[in-house]
This record gives sequence, structure tokens and C-alpha cells, in this order.
Amino acid sequence: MLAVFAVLLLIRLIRRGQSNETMRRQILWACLSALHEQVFKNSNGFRFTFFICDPLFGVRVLDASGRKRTTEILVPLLRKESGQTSYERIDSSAYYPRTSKAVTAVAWSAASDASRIAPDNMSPWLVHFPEFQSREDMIHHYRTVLKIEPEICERISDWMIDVRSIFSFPLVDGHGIPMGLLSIDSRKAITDAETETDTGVIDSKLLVNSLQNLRAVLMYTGFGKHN
Amino acid sequence: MTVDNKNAHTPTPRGSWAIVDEDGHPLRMEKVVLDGVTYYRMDIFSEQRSEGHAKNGKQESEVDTE
Repeated sequence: MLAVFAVLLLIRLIRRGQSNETMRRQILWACLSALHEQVFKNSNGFRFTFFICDPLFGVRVLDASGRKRTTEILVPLLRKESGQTSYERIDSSAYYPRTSKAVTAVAWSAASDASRIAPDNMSPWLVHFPEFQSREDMIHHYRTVLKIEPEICERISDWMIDVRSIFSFPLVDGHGIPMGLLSIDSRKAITDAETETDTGVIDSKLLVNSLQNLRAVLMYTGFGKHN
Repeated sequence: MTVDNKNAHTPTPRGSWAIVDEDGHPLRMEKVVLDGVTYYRMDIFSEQRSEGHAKNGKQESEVDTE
């Protein structure tokens, strides 16, 4: 009888935990949706992915001295893309070891080093891409120019073939500890040239305000080093 | 509802995007090369920091005059 009660209690606690986690993701998704609408005018040329450090799993990588060691990995928690009108589970098998040269991992590593980034500084790291003719073309670039591990390249979706810039915003708490990372894939290049024609405009002030709101939501909903 | 565009290969949109300041000027990107890979950084907070400094400066001068 006692065992049955314990099992029922456990099921109830797990369900409550899942329910809280789902609600947390829905809140975060709503923030990304607002960012997409207010800052990026709901353009279908952007895709927003929120990464966290996996609290349970890491991967074995070779360090500089050739020894194998375990490192933490960044995994996508949720995604907002064009056409979505409500939160749904992310369908992605991507992950990035912290030691990877992928811009997501580099931005995370920089944010983890408190001496290199102030807690309120969420300025992005960017990487740009040429036009690719095929998936093979894209994978070749990722492997040879960006020096990203083959097993990670294989997990990159075809959506990325048309991406011209990625910008990754590390989001840190008041102690400088990364809570997560917002990665934005853009199908148009991000430029800083004054003379470009046919250039869309992203208001930096709106962007900063939205990022600060997102950061506040992350802090309030308990994101942190151990998610 | 989701539009499944994960595997879609649509033509690349032409043009570009710029993150601009209050006056409409694109924010500058700083090139950073790490282990032979080129990245860029953009300080999107510079304007806000300078506003903050201006405010702080004003407060200090107000305190001084008092």
C-alpha cells in the first residue's frame, strides 16, 4: 500500500515538474515570438534558437595535448521559426561541444569567462557565409573554413544552406554565469556597410530592450548554470 | 501550427540587414580571428552605455551644484 502511494506521489511530482518545464518553455517561446515580431518584423528570413548547456550529458573530446576529456555541450532547447503560431517541441539533433569552433560555442565560452564579458554585455558574435550551391558545398565550408567537427556538420539541417549570417547572443545572469544563448540564423547577410542598397533595418535600441526583457525572463524562470 | 521548412531549399533572399543606431547608421563589426577562424563582434550596447554615462554625469553635476 505504501509502495503504491510512493509511486503515485512520484508520478504526480514528475508530472508537475514536466508541466512547470513546459510552461517555462512556453514563456520563453513567447519572448522569442515578440522579438521576431517587434524587432525583426516577422521576416521569414530569420530563425531563432535558444541553446542551454545540457545539465546531464557531455561529450569526450581531444584536448590540445591529445588527451581525451569530457566537455559540456550546448543543446537547442526551443526554436521560433517563421510560420509557427504557438510553442511546440523543437525537432533538432544539433549539439555543440563547448570546445567547438562553431560560433555558438565560441560565444558561450567567451561568456563563461567572466573576465572577458561584463554581466550586462550580451553583444553578439557573428559568422558569415558565402552562397552555397548544395548541402555538400555547405558541409565542405563548415569543415574546412570554420573547422567544425565532421560529426557535428552531419547534424546541421538543410535550412542552413541558405543562411548568410549567424549571430549568437550569450545571456548571462547578474553574476556573469551564462543562462543560455540566443542564436539567430539570417538568410540575408548582416552588414555594417553604409552604401548597401536593399538593406533591411534592425533597430539596435529595440533589439537591446528585447534582449534585456529576455534576460529578465530567464533569470525569473530559474535558468542558470544548472538548468 | 508549423510550416515545415526544415528541409526546404528556397532561393536566397537578396539584400542584407543592418543593425542601426538612433541616427540610422549601421553598427560597426569588429573582426576577431581565433585559431584561424574568422568571427565578428558587434557592440550593440555602446549607445546605451554612453547614455548611461551621460545620465551619471548629469547626476554627478547635479550633486556638485547642490
